[in-house]
Amino acid sequence: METLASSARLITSAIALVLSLVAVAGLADATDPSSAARDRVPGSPAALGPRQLPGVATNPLRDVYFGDLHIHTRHSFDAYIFGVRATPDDAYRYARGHAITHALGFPMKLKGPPLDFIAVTDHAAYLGVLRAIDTPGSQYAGLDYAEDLFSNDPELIRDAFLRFGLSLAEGKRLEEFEDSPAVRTAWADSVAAANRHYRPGEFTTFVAYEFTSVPDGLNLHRNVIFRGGDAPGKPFSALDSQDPEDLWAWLDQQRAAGRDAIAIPHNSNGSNGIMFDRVTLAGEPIDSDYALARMRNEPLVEVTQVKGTSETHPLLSPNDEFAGFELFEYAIGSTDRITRFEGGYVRRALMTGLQMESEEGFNPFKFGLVGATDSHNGAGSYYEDNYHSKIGIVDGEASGRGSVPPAGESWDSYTPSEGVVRRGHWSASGLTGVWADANTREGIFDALRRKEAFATTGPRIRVRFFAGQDLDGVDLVSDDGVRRAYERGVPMGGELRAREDAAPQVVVAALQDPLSEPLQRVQLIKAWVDSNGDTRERIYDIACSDGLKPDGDTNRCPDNGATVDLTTCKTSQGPGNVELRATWRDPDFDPGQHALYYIRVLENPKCRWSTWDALRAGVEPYPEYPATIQDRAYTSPIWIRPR
Amino acid sequence: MLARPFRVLSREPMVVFFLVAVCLFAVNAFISPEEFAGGADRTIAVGPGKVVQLAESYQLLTGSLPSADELRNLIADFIDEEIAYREAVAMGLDRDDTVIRRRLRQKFEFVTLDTALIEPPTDERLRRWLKENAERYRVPERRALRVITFLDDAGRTMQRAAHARERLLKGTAPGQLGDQTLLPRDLPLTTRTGVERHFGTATAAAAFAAPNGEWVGPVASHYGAHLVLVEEVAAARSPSFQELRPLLLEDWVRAREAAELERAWRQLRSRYEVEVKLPDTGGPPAQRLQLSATE
Repeated sequence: METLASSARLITSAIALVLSLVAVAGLADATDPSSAARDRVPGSPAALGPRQLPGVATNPLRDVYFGDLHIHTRHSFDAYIFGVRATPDDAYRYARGHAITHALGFPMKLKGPPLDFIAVTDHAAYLGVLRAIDTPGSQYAGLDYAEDLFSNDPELIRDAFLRFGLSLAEGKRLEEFEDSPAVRTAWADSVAAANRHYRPGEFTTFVAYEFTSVPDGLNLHRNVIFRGGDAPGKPFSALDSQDPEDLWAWLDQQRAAGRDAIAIPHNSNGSNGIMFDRVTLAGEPIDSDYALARMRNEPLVEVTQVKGTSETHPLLSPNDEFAGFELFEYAIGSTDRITRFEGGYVRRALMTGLQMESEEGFNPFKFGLVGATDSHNGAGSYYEDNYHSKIGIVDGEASGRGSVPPAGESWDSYTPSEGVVRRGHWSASGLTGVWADANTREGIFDALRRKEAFATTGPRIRVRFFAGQDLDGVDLVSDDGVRRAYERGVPMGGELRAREDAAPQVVVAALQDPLSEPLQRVQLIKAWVDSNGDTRERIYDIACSDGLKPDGDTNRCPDNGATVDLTTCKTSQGPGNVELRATWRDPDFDPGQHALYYIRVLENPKCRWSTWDALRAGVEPYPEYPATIQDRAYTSPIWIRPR
Repeated sequence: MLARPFRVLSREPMVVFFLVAVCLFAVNAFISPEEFAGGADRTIAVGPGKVVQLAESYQLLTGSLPSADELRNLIADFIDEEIAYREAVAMGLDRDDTVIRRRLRQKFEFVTLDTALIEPPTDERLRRWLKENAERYRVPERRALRVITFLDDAGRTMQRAAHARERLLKGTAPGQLGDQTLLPRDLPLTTRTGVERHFGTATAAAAFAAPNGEWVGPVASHYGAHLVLVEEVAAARSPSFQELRPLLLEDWVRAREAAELERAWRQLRSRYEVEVKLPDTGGPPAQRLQLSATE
């Protein structure tokens, strides 16, 4: 208790110091009247007008910031077993651009500029416990399975570790960890680290954790992100309850106590359809209370991460040529195959939400989209050519992730097991982008809450997206244009009322990540409920690179001729755009229908990480994995409410 | 000569008893050798002081004192632990076990550090620390910029940028030049890293080398080319001692702890004579493995 109090004092002094430093240095620009970007915009639907921290640079027209909202450190029970010893401090240092050490001993360094924000989200279940067991003299060091857990025998380790996995699947806490002081200590450390590294205006950290609900092995995981630095004494974990409704009730309590927070689900692809089911976990049909509770607490979904992308599936979207992207069709942590896709993918869930809105008047699936890695190494891999996967000593080497055969073997002599091949299907994804007033906890969190956020599958692709009734002459690349867009339309995450006389206009601008490939196309994905009450989807290419135009019948850009040389991983130099812009009006608009639009931006193709691994090892890429990949961004939708 | 004192002593009952006891012990040792030949001491005494210690440890971990049942368990647990410890030592289990050695080292370092009392530093001491580590505490330079961007998409970026620069010098408004992009056209006071985040390292370098008020460029980037105008420079500054004091204290204490540990190790090592004999099987030459007690 004593150390917490003195730490708290130190932290508040440090924050006060930083704020005062920035305040003194920034006073001049905060009062400079000449810069257009400082103007306040009156009464626009997206609630412009920053809550200004003294001296922190704010922009009412908003800037884009990138971050990873899902990182694990040694506090997580599974990371610790994977040999990961990175602390939250290490995770923050990595995000700022310093090298930290992988569990196998090699250095990991972020490619490109530092991240703007980050959330360290260790599993609340058994938080800090594995490390406590491994600590001499601790109360757990004497457990009968302690020695096995940290032995050198993988069989012994796996069997000892299985008890934790089973405990989570059953949702029953192991007796020896009832009200564990190890959890409280680790949580206090996690909170202190987040507060210690927070630099308003420069680098935002969040108090956060993961709610690891996995009933019977089906994935219902959520990450909990707090708005402020004030944290509850203990995080609500899946060992308290596996039911997300109980988590939401706890979050409502936290909010009432002044600690606003949201929960972000991920890996619906591993839920076998229960993540976005029409019934609750208890089997009851969803009602309006449920929908309100869900939307109050879960405004976003993490659509892409290491364990696959859950945007859509070829079985659900047979007319989407780009639907089969980084699919991961296994239950988490096992080789059991997913059999039910409905309810496991985000586009279909958004459509289900529209349908429920039109039939029953409420929508539990009105969420925006974000991306993250879920790396358990304390450090995310965002690029294909700089990939160190997810789980420490297990997949830190290429042979551990199924992309090359073990040393001394060839693809002729060696066939990877299904457990290894699973990891070959993992991805170098993803990131969250937000348009926020400032790089502060309030600025970023509020952007997340209003869904002015988008997901990328790794690269820092910038996308801006507005819809409105009267956006003639609005561009998104000048201060005047952006101001008009906020005044007359809504940004991603917003909602528009349909008008009888004209279809809404859509305006989009996208800029490539300079460290990745040029952009190939901008697509608009429309989902709606038709007059029979069925959900429909259609994709329109609305901007093509290289001055090309989408075909009038198929609504697809022609091939821009971009290629990848698989023997060198060099990409063609000509095709593709640094920036793509589009204005578009829906030719098939019906003002009586519930509908939504979201934007998908595709890069030119490049080598997938598995191909890079094979190239570096001098072997052929394993045929089961795609050889190339087109990284992309997905914006949060804009909903259209019918008359 | 010894006969007379001996006869006197042997009439003393205490002496007789003593001699008898010694004989009995000798006989016992002969009959049950294991109790004495490196055997464990069979008496475990848990005094009131130890019980209080157990209760307080429990309180530290959980926040409340143990109930009667819990205390009973704690004591029983301690007794088992004590028995196991004695038996293990008797069996020699504490020797040559890597895990135990490692843990003893950890405990030793912890104990050593704990006993090296670090006195809180005076202000003067902290000022000296600040002076010695001035670079670490400087707030970096920040610049407010205007940037005109020429995207690769429209081609000929360096030529267009150069042409635009000439027009700027002739008085054309910057707003009329270059491409409109998602990249910012102006940045408030921003650090060099902040500029890199948008425009890359080359443009940031040019911006931070440019004189105030003068358009520089074209600078090439992954996007194409840029012209940059420095509108304002906020020089790097060193915050005052009072502003920095809490941070200085924290850093000083951490550095001092590390130094204390290192000093304690050096002292320890100097007490030992170390000889390392390498195998003859073609290992690295002996000079490269020089180990000195002061390292």
